[in-house]
Amino acid sequence: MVKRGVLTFLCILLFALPAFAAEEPILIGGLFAESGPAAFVGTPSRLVAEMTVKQINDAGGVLGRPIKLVIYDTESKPDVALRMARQLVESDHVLAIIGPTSTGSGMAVKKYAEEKNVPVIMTVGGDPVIAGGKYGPYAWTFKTPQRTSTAVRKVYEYLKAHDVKKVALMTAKDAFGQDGLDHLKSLAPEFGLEVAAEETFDPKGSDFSAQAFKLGTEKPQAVIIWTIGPAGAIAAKNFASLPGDKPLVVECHGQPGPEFLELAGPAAEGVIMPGTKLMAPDSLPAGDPQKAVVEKFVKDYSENGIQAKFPLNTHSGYAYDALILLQAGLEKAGKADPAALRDALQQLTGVPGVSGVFTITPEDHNGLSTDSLIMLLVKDGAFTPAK
Amino acid sequence: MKPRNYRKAVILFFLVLAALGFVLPSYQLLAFNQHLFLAINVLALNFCLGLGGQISLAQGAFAGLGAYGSVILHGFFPGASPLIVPVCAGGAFLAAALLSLPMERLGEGFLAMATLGVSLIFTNLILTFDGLTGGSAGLMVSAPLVIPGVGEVSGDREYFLLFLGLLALGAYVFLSLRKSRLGRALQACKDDPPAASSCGVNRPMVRALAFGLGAALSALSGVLYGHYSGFISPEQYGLELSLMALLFLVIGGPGNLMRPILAALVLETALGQMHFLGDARTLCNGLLLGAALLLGYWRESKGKPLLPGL
Repeated sequence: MVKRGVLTFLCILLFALPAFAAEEPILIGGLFAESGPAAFVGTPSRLVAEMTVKQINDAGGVLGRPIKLVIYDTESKPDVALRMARQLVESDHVLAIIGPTSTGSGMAVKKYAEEKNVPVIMTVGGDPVIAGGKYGPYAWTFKTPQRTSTAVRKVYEYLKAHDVKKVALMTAKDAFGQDGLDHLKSLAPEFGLEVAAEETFDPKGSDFSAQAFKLGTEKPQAVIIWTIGPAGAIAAKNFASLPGDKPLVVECHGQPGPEFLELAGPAAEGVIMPGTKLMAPDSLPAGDPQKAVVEKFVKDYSENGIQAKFPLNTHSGYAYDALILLQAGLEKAGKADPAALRDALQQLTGVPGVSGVFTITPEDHNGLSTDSLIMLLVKDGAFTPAK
Repeated sequence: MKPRNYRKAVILFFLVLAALGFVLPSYQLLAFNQHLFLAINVLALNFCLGLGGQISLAQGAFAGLGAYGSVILHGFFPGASPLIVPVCAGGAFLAAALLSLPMERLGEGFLAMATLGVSLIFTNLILTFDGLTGGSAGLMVSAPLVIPGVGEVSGDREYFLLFLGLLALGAYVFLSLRKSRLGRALQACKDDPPAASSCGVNRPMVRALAFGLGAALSALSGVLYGHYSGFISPEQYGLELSLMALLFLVIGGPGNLMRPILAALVLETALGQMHFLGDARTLCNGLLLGAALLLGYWRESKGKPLLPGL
């Protein structure tokens, strides 16, 4: 008995030795909303992050060291996100943080990260985290999803090219919707657009017919709906059931995904929205620098079984991009040090990710421009590039 | 328990908590402070529900009133904390008392509806005046809280002591109020409103006072929490906070001082550790509530069956 025990111990030791010999892993924190209202984005983001880290480690890691992710659930609450961020930094001693998922949580984490000088690459939709001014400095905060203003410009460029002069706005009463409204209003004159009317709605609501009807009476050529989640599909349905001439329905860059098609059903036909190239990988020309990245990501996404649980949508790639930026930053910095990583991240140019080609500067902590987006048209129940 | 022993137990409880504050590492104090913030709101609701027998769903809004009021006023007058903090507490007291007065005249149960409205209106006000409040994007807190003679308050341990002090102050007021003439009048209103009125208790006034005190306590907790977290947004002070306060008060038993506070501190800490629960956390809250209600019924009915034959 004792002999067998000793033998087993020796065997275990033998297997464990190479692990001891390998380099210390680089600790990276992950904050994802795995429960609460943002869980439909947060949970797949976590799976993508784990998949990406595994790929990086299988390819030899970064700076010869493997990456180890320490992941916590933010419950979609800013208070919990801050608590978990502090646990990551002060207890787990991570080098940098990926996430959180929602803009409110992002703001709570950002304040702390800026004080503690921890690089954070966020996957939040809203701009305030990297806007500066009254939202505080953003020297250590980055984000991978396109800026709201970038998406607004993309929509307006399309509308201007299609001779639209009069638009109506319908935005959610949350941080994301408000951010959209601010930019939609301030950028409209630049593209010669008149905002005829604006309405807000509760993104947790189940019917927005009243707002849709009211906006419809102003006879806008197009109506722009700015929200994440099922509310966008509900609003599209409400507009589709308006009597008489219907305006062109434009959704925001948070909507592209199978869920929208499913929920909106026939009402989705003819709706346009900006989206990442992830939503139409087949339409990419051969010379596109993102083509290889996007195709590989789509393949890995389904091979790892994530596609079966969470069908690919426009949010799927943001956690991947955050890790790719982190990897590129670490390699440029040449050492696992927060300040060096931050400086390196700020000098990254032309890093192809799923959401676009990132070129980050100290002023622009997102690094994506309007050509990272394409306009999508729902045709026959599928997303196709809009002409 | 004898009154003197009870008081000793309460003091011991606060001493143990204070000792914990010096042992725990800083980042765990953050979680502790967040739970203390909830516990103070549970106690605040206890003034209204436990003593006066009225359900309020506006504790979150009153905490938000304190947080937004203090942060915005500090933005205009940095360093004027000794003036601003009482203004916030007094403002919440007045608003709550003025709300409670007409509701009491309308009849039983109207306060719950009115306070539900207050919660929703408060969130909408924050969203509407986004120039001042930052809207749903939230507001960065620029000016710190200043205590005269001590200086700027910052750091987890300092705030921990303030939260604990506020909870102790609330507990002291609660205990002395419960034994006072006002407390007895409240008890009478809770047990039999018509009888209380016919005995000469000014019911609207008495209940307005209790409700106002609870609101002021919530507002003070909001002032502390707003400056502590450094970032305030409407979702932190929404209906959810009010419902959580109600949940833990009912689990602990309204009218009891320590049990609801303990329920909030212990259960929140425990649930906060259980990351694997995910969305099942809400289910856990529901189960706890159900169990607490059954237990409370069993305790009060001295073992009578809940349903015939059960």
